[in-house]
Amino acid sequence: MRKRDDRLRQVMLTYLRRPGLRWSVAVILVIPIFCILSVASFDIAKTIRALGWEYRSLRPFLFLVDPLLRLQFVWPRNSTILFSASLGGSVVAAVLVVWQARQQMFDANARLTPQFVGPGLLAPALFMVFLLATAGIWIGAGAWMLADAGLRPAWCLRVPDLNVLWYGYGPRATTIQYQLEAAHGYAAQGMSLASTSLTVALMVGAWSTVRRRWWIGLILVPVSAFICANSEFVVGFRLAAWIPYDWRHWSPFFIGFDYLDTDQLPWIIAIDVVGLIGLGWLWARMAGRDEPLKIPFARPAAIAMAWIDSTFQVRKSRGSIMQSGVWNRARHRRRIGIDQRAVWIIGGLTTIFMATLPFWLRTDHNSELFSRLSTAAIAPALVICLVWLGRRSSLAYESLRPATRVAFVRETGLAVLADLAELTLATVLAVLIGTVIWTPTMLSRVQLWTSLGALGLTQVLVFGILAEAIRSRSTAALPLATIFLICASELLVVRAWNGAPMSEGLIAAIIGVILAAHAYWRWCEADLA
Amino acid sequence: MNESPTTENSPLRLARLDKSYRKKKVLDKLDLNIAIGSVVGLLGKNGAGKTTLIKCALGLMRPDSGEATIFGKSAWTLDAETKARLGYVPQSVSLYSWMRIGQLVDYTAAFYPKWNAALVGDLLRDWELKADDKAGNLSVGTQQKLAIILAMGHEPDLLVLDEPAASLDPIARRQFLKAVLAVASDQTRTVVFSTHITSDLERVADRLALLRDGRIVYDGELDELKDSVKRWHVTAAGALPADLDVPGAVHRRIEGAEALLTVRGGTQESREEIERRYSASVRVEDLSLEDLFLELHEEEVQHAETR
Repeated sequence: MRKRDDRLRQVMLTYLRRPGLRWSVAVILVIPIFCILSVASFDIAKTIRALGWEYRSLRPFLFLVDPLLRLQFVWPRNSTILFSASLGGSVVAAVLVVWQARQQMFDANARLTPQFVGPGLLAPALFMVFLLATAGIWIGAGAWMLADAGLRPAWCLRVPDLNVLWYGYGPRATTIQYQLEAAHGYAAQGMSLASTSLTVALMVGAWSTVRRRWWIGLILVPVSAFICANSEFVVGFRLAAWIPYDWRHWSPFFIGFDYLDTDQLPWIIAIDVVGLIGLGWLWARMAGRDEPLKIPFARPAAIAMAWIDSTFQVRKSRGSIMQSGVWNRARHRRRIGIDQRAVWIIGGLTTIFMATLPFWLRTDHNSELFSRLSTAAIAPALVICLVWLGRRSSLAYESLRPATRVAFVRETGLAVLADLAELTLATVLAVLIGTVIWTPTMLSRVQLWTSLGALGLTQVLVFGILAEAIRSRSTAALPLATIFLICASELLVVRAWNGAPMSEGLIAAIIGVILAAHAYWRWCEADLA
Repeated sequence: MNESPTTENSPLRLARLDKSYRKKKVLDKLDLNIAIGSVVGLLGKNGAGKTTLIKCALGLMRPDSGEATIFGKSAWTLDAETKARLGYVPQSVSLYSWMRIGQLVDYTAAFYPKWNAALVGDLLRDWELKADDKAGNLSVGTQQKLAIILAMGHEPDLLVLDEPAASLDPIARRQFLKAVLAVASDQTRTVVFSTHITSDLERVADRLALLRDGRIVYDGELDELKDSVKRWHVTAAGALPADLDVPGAVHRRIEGAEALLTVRGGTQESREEIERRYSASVRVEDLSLEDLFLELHEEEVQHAETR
């Protein structure tokens, strides 16, 4: 028993020593701690009067952070960044956890170590639970409960009419009973946020376990980005729309979704069956058994997989590219990262997904447009980060192909830029097609076009940060850049949607250009191995 | 025969190369000059600095001081034409797991102005690699084979391999050595490879660079080293002194009337002197490269203890 405990400790240490994972967890943990430390130092009454109702009801805790940042009147929606950071942190950490688990389970030395398999599977499971607890329950329930339910009496002493201002409630809000009710409500919301995190973590984590079929991951990215970017941050509101309240608790996969009522039991069964098969498959992969599971429809699925797999493969080159122009050479370098056809297929699938979602979820189409925009802002950065995360280790090897160091840097940078530009274009088209179908009147609104403009400018910032992260030899750089970019991309587009001036996007783009220039200069002079 | 290397024609030349990782010195004023047409084995124990040397030599890492040149050009600012004459297999191969072997070959070939498709086809067939197999599904050893083939397809004038045979099975190792010999048979092409497997080195290398603590302690013909370092078995009539003094002794083990000496550059006169002074007989034994490596390492340990 003791030996097994020691092995578990050893395996867990291998995770804790990953700098990328340490930093991601630090981001998740620091946000609520930062928030709690900040609550005492602001003028509650002034802020409540200045801001809209939704901050009083939906995000009371995060809105409290705004005054500390001294940005409450300039950046009315900057609290989004905190949610994005926590979700982004959990996504990156989940990828790293599953990635490492996969590496260890496929490593012969590790597998032959006595008492390894159990701890080897238990350790990532514990980390996933930890991520779930920190990213979801802690931020969602813990921080809210502490800040709102716990500190409200103190605030009420400072601002007597706080409850009226905040929720429109009377004095009962200060009673113990109300505190308990509020705590329960926040805990439920936290659970929903936790389920969002779990969904995202599993989807993105799945990508790292099935990298041989890398296109699955790319298809999952826009889906998970949509969940991150959902205007109603609690994904349970959306997914649970399919499931009746009474039936929800029968589903191991939807136990946390406690909100809406519909009557579609078949969905629960279908999702659970697919979910269980998926988990079984993942487990088999993690345990190192490569043979396919015997599931119904395996043959058609295999044919479809083979077709998609071959579609996503790189095309044959036409002769030497030695004498070609820089664009052709950059294009050639892209072939091992992300095929141009893959970009457009991802764009097409994203379009179908985003365009049909309002139909399935029966929600307000305007808010869906906003969600699509947010998705389009996040998805390209996330996809490119994941693609280049897997490719970076081979850059030194690639640099010895016939090209000067400067040309290599230029072509690689151009390849990243082209990946980003094509993917952005594909997702923007997806937004527009969805808009044409569901909200054609929005096409004449300036709000849509300024948001799209901001989205385009934001991608310049994304490129600059990506270039810095890729040229950096730090293992934590790309995961941290991913977290930051998820936050920054969404924040800038959300702000543009809410009427912020285009100059914000321009400033972001200028910063992006400066970062890209700096990355170029440093990369030309840096060690490559 | 190999040309004697000059700065201009040397495929690889390292001059006063220094490299430290924080406070740890990995390369220490290292000099190495490799001649065209030679097969050079780079031998050293773990942490001796072999990989760092190769990275600095290829311009992947900037040395703290000193200079690395490839075909007379600075490794740090190599032009495309010189890189086209260079082949490299890294210690840990990071191929693109989602690509098929045929596509990887095609992708790599497109970078080079000349590509010997027939040679690559032959090697793929000999090494039992199928163009339709995915790189990600290959074993570590098979990935290593593929990396070697990719590095040989453009028939580089300088082929640098960082522990290429470490993951290969005995059959694949023989095939690999055969391929290296085929490259070396063309006297204009040079191979540098680092390895721990001394038997491989003995089979193909004509020169040896022995790296120890960041310095090249031996750089020369392999046969010359074998000729210069011998083991002497001394059997005397009486007890031999504990401080038996033999010029060039690298390592000595003395037990009573028996002594086992490893001597570098030992002469006939030295042997006769021992035989005469101690009424002894001296039997001279050749050393394998592995024994040589161990003895020369022992020499350093002894020197370190003396210091």
